[in-house]
Amino acid sequence: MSSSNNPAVPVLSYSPVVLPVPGRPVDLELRVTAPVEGTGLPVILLSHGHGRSNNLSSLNGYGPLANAWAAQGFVVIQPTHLSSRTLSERLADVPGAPLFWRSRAVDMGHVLDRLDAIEKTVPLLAGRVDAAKVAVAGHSLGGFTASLLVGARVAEGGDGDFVSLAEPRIKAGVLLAAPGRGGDALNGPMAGIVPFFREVDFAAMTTPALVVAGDKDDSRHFTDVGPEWHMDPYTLSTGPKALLTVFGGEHGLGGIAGYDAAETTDENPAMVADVVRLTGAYVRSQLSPGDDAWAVACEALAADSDAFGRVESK
Amino acid sequence: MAMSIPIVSVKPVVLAAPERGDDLTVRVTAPVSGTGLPVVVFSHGFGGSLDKYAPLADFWAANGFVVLQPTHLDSRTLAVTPEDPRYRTIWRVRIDDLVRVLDEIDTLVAAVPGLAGRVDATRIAVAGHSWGAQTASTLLGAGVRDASGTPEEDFADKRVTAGVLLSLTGTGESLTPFAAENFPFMHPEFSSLTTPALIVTGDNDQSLLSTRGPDWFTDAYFMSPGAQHLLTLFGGEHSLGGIVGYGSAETTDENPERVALIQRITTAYLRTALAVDAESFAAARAEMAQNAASVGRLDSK
Repeated sequence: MSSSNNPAVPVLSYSPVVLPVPGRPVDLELRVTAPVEGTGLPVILLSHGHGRSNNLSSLNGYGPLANAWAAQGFVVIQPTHLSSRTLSERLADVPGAPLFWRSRAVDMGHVLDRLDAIEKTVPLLAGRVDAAKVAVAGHSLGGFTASLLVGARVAEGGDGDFVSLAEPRIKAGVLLAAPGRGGDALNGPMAGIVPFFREVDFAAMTTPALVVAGDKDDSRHFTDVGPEWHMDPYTLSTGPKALLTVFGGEHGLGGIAGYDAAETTDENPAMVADVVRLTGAYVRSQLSPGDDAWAVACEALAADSDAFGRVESK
Repeated sequence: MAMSIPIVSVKPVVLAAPERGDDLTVRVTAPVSGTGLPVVVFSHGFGGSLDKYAPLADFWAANGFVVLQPTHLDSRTLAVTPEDPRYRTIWRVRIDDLVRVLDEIDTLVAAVPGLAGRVDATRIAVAGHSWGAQTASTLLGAGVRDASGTPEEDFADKRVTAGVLLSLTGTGESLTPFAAENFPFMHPEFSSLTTPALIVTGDNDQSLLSTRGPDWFTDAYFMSPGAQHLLTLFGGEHSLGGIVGYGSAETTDENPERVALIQRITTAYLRTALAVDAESFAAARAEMAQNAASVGRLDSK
């Protein structure tokens, strides 16, 4: 399937924007990537995952997503969360280590609080951002972070006492290879490191979101449910939601975490381009009612006999 | 000594190149503050692109350099196949690419908001990795000969006053049949490489291109008058701990300490070689002898 991504659109990337945050053990550092031209730019907050590489779980990861979304007209803001492997030695003994599920979500609120300052820091960005149009995206553990920001609730202590970290300024979510339900499904050998996956209330996830799942993303280390586990955030939440199933996609979704990344098991630049195109269309239409990019993309996908994936909606 | 100024990067900046078949695209990375900034033109290895080598480009930029990274014709992002008539001449087009970048520095600088007027285009270094080191070495004076020993023209570029050559292939007599067939230009003449340069090599870089061992990658240091310094990474393989990209699948010897040492030593070298700081390289050598002796060794002549 042909792609409407245009790699020739110049993008500008700035790093790090440094935001001191009281109580956070290190300053919040961000990468901001934006098209060189254009105004009224919507924002995508991008939450990195927790892959095994030394550096991709930071603002230095996810270039294939950030650069391509920026070329589509988005301002992409990527924090380095406290869970980053670039910080893990320094923060090993800090409460919340090593995965910092709560701080990860709170980071995005700090970013939105300081959007004005961020805009003024990046050369030529001031006055070109539409702060009313904000979406969150995240991959893997970052997909979990995104699911919390669009309303999913967690009972960390297993006591049924659910916490909400929903962020009302976020109008849409994109959950890429995000984790699914807990309970008995969380039965893999690594389940012990993610106790906060145990009790998740996806029904509370009311903000519109697109769930992206690879139909070969079998996360045995957490669950024996199979690739459908990553579709739970769609299946178990209330509408409006959409599910993009990527045929042949594994956890790397073709390689979104980095260029030629070692942690990608299903390297496929065309798949990445397709994921970027569909997710970009979704966010654009969600943030700008009346924009038909998503409807057009879905129609084209449905009409394509050799489509890279399938979309369902509710 | 690392300064870590915030950096801004713009890509692609497109330089029209009709005779090349594909326009030349460049990533420009620069610190957001500072004036009189020196320039590093970086040449990627086989198959790479302007999206690679962020661990080097970003670090150099954060320490006061403007880094210019073209995408050469062998890039996997371009799909020039062996059947393409340009294929056999890519080594030469790579050199042209670096020259074109040097010719168009003003255009490239103008593409980055706030950079114009802050660059000192009289202070230029070239750097490169693997095939990119070979490409960069020619601008420092290294000769290129074909398999019969016939020399090509002189590619030395007087605008360039220093070089950093990472995993630079050695002399041509030990080429494997695969290398001789695919890279017939790999018969360098190092005696004419007279521009000052730092050679960086891994002492476990076992190449499929040569029947010699890792010492093949030290030839330029021993044979070039300009190659005054040799940084050897203990246990380093061709990917030198991961300079090609963050988390890159091409890295066979992932090692953040190794990358950090290369970042520090190359930066200190470039700052001294381009007359930004006369003391930085000496200080880095002293620091290295104390703190990094287990990661690598720095030899000078």
